[in-house]
Amino acid sequence: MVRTEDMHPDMAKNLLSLPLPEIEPQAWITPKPLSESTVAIVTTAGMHAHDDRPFNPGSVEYRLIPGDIDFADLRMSHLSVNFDRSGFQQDINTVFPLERLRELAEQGVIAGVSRYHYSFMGAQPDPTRLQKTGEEIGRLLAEDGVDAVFLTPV
Amino acid sequence: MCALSHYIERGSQGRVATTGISLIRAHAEGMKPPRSLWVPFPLGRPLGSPDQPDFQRDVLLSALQLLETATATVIVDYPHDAPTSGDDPWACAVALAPPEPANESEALRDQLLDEIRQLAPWHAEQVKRRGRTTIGISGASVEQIEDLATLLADFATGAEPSDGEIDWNHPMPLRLKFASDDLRAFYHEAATAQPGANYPTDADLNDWLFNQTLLGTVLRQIVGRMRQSEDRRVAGLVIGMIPAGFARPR
Repeated sequence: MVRTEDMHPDMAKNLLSLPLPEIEPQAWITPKPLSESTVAIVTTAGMHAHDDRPFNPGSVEYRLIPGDIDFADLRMSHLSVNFDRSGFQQDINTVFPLERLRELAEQGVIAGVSRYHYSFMGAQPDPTRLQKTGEEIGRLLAEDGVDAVFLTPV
Repeated sequence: MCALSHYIERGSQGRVATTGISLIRAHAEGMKPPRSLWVPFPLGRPLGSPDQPDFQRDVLLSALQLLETATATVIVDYPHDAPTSGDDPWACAVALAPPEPANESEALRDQLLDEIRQLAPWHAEQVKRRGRTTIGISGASVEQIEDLATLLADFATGAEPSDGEIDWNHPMPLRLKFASDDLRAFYHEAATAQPGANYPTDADLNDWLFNQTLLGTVLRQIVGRMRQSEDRRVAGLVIGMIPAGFARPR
């Protein structure tokens, strides 16, 4: 069990002092039923394919992760050292549950898994810097017929 | 993560709904993404624990179901802690006996290489069992792991770091950070290679690496040198080298 009160005091203090900018909420989206929805994963784990350029400090770029990627081809170049990487190292699904999503599609719980998924590097001191690229992948996902996104932080 | 929820929905012009995991509840409370499942898991493990597919599926499904049940901004608390392997303390199967670290670059490098060679069979076993490694963000391959150790040992003792044969992804000093991350991945993957053993938490692995291995001592030496550097780029990398709480030996 890990909650902020269980963390190292320096880490908890840092996390709880991060600015939380108010972002104008959008009109509420009423999604399709899950069984009719194609789902993509968007993660802020700083993951990418082995041959992709690693993330640099402060990067607000994203990396595209094909839905058929071999897990052996995934790497993580997140700059922060203050989160566990061993779960990812042992089982990618601990951070990026693509296999679990495929199982839900096979069972008919969701209609399908997106052809593409996206990865950013989190731990941004100013999360509003993600606006441009965040909106861009929203447009790309919609154009690709994705109905819902599951976001995972680290 | 919270900001991206808003931006993705806005960019999609109402066509893509978002749901997701929150690891820091205060962040979700402050930034109000449309749908959040707060989980009481360690940072870095949003789905709970590795190799626990049923548990991971339940976490995923709990977040996805918010797409069908929520009618306004919502944070739901996931009611279960991540599975652990029981009350028995984890211990690395390889009993390393870290020597007093040498001050000379060559001697320290030899000590570090000796430690790496003790772990190498376990790392190879892990690669065989899982069919993959996460090493590579520095530009080094698994076969070049000793070149990474040489770079770090050289820097730790103030020697001129050699480039070796690695096609580095980053210039100095950023190279040090990613070389350190790749070496830590090698140690973690070796330490978790033994199938069937009770599996470590992130705290177990950090405690082992920073208190029971020579690499942990070398990384502290590197951070000490970084702090003394007049190059602000070097000093600025300190926070990316050692997790909070492990800067000093236990």
